Amino acid sequence: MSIPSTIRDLLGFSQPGTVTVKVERDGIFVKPTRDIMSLAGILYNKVKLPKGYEKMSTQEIINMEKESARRGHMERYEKSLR
Amino acid sequence: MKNLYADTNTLVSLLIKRNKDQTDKVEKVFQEAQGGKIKIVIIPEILMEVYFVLHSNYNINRDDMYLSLNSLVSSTQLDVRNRSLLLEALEIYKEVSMSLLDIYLYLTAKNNNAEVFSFDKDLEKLKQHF
Repeated sequence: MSIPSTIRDLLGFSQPGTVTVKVERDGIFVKPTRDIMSLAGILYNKVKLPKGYEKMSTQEIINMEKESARRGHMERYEKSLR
Repeated sequence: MKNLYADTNTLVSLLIKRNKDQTDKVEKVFQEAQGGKIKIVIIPEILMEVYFVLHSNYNINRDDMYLSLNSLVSSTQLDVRNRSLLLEALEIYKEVSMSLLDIYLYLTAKNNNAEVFSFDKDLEKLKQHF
């Protein structure tokens, strides 16, 4: 169903999309439903790509990400010991 | 129905659209999930790894992290394991300056009527939150 932008603002739905409407005994409940395809590239303009990223192979990128996940875990662990 | 357990790199690829080939493949699979042909399962361990990769490798700030992970976890077209606990953890993450993993650990213990056994004094912040 389509909801006018003024109503969307009123309900606090910041993203355009579909909603689930449930009619129950104590009222009508409207909940936004996130379409999974709207997640594609949601952070495209937010990421800071590391140097040389464009020239890296897929496996090199994955290895770099695995290393960053390991680093993130280690940072969390070291912080917990302070 | 075929079930696919998503790995970290496919979810990161979807969110940041980092590489055309990968993005095309990921979008095709997600479109199939949207159409109900397959089911994509996301386990909390992988979501935590997505969090660490976005944080450590791509410098995603807290607001954008919350927005993207919350959207991912809330999607009813995905089978997100422990969805309600993850959503609760993300709501707290928005307000408390702590690692998502710390919050998730704390909530998991709390939901099991237990406490966290840790030397980390930051976990006290969470006790104050409740």
